[in-house]
Amino acid sequence: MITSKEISIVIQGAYFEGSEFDFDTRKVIESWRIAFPNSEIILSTWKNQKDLKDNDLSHLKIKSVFSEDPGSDEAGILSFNINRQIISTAAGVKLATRKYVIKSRSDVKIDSNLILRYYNLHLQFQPEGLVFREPIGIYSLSTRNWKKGFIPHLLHPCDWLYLGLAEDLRELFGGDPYSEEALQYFKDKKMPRRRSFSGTSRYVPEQFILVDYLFRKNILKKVDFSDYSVQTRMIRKLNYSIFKKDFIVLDEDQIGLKSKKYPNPHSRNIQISQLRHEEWSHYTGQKHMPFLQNKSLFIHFRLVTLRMLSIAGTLEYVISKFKYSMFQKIKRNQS
Amino acid sequence: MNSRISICVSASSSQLVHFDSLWISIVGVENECEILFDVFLNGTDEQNSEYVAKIVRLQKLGHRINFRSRSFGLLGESRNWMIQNAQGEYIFFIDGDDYVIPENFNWLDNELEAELMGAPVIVFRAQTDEEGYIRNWHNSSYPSISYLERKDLLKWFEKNGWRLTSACVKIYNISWLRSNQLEFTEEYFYEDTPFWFDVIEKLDFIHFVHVDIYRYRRWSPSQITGGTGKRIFDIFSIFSLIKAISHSQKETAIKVAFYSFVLEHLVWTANATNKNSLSRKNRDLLQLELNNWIDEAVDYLEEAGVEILRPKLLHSLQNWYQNRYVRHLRYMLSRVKFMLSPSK
Repeated sequence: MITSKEISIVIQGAYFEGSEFDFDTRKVIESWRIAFPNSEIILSTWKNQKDLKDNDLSHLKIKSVFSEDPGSDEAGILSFNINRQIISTAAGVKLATRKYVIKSRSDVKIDSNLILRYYNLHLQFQPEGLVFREPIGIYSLSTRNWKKGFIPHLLHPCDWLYLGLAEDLRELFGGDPYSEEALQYFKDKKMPRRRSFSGTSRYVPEQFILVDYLFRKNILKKVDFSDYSVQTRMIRKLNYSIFKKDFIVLDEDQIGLKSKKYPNPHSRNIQISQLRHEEWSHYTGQKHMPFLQNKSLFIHFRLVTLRMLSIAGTLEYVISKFKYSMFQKIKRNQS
Repeated sequence: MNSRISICVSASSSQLVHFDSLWISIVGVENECEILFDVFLNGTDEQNSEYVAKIVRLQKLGHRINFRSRSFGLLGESRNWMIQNAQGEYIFFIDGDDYVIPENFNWLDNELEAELMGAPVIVFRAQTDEEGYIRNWHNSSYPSISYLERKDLLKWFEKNGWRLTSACVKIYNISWLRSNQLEFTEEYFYEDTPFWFDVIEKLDFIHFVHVDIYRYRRWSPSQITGGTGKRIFDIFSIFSLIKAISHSQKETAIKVAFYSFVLEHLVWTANATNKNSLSRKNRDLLQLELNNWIDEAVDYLEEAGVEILRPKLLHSLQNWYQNRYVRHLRYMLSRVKFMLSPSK
């Protein structure tokens, strides 16, 4: 079983002083230290942040690495921090010396080490990955369910937390940052007809990290995945295989993550397109828990209910889009 | 002897309410050696500062106190710090919400010093303080003789189960601990259990003294092992640690004692777990771990020809999770029945 002695924890992002919207990064690091007492903790943040040499964090025995802040990425009306994430995570993972790495954010606390138990459990049954050496544990919060939602995005794991081999994460975050050209991809092109994403970027930020890795490994060379809206049969098949063999999707109670940004990950609005652990277990056959094995009827009922909620959410979205377009028409006619 | 004992207190600032009674009991011990305080600052800001201020005041009054405060780290890390920094010949651990019985401690010093000098470990008896009601704790499972060689001790464990795991109620010889590189695990709760297995592995003989010197406050609000969902799973990691130690030994008695301990502790774990502290998925994981360990323990004990007590209890343990649903359903049905009954 993996213990905290084999783990490096990379906490990446800006250093927050604590507010209504963010946890104090110092408390975040303390929470990781309490949950994983013997792990190596690396804080990867920006050079223009507060000076950490004043022994504010010396009692936590962490390493720090400082990078140049590339700024946020503008993609039409949307603004991302994908390059900030790639640069700071790459810098942190490069410094890691232990076999496994957990990558997390500087505004998200943890209150248990249960993630290791779930990871170990699933690793017994799926020790090797398809595109990674070993499967990577991810959070379900913004992991998209390819069977739910208005336009399900494929190859879309959540980027809040990764738990995997250090070598795998170094390769995953070892690519070039998201280029300006890719960020403005749809600026002069026609946007996909069916879309649930309003930016001009070629891929949704969470997709980019995985997609860039797959391109570098030549896995997406022969398969068409030109932009985020592609839903061909080949891509669906690849998406399913990767989620089956290379990812272990865990919910917030299985990881113990706490965030002020999403204090209620159970809310219906988020679950519209989320891939929950139960759904992932059911779709990919990873039913290692007694509840999932014995209560398949109950699981089916829950999945149907979740599907209906997602349809309701989709309908709500479609109706609101329709109302908005009608409003725009009326306004134009009046003017 | 007391003059050579380092009294080591692992406290947390949320136990501030017990500080005065703890201190009065310690200062009643005629001890010329030091007192080590390791304080975990997990209380409010006021509690943290007040706890530290009390200790600093006592230092200024001339008491030989070596003090450290920390904001994270488990009890294992605290006790290891004390083993490394204690300057006496013997070490005695106290939790911050318990206290000692100084008159019995002083009797020990006067009567038994010659007899106990050089012993690696001396085990005492304890009582529980249940909000003023004092009860004896170890009597029913305590050996009646005062000196046991290792092989006899293992036979006693084989017969009675793995007992006396608490690191308190024992006095350890510090140089013996350091020379055998014995230390507590710093990663998990229940750190005293694998430590006790390690100690038994290394010692040649042990002394038992039939004197109560320690009082546990049973219902102290800071008793957090057991009910909290976050650390309930640590017991399974502890089992894995101890399994590695017991399987490296030649004696079957240690393995039998270990698996008996596993079964006993699993019953306690299931009963003590507050179901509201665990989500449905985590309860499911707990059930899986329970079943794995039960199967392993039962297989070994059956193969070793050891009678398994209360097999029905084990069966209900393996269905602990489902049983809770069934119990809830039965309760709901009884409420419905009551509401529908004409006689109400």
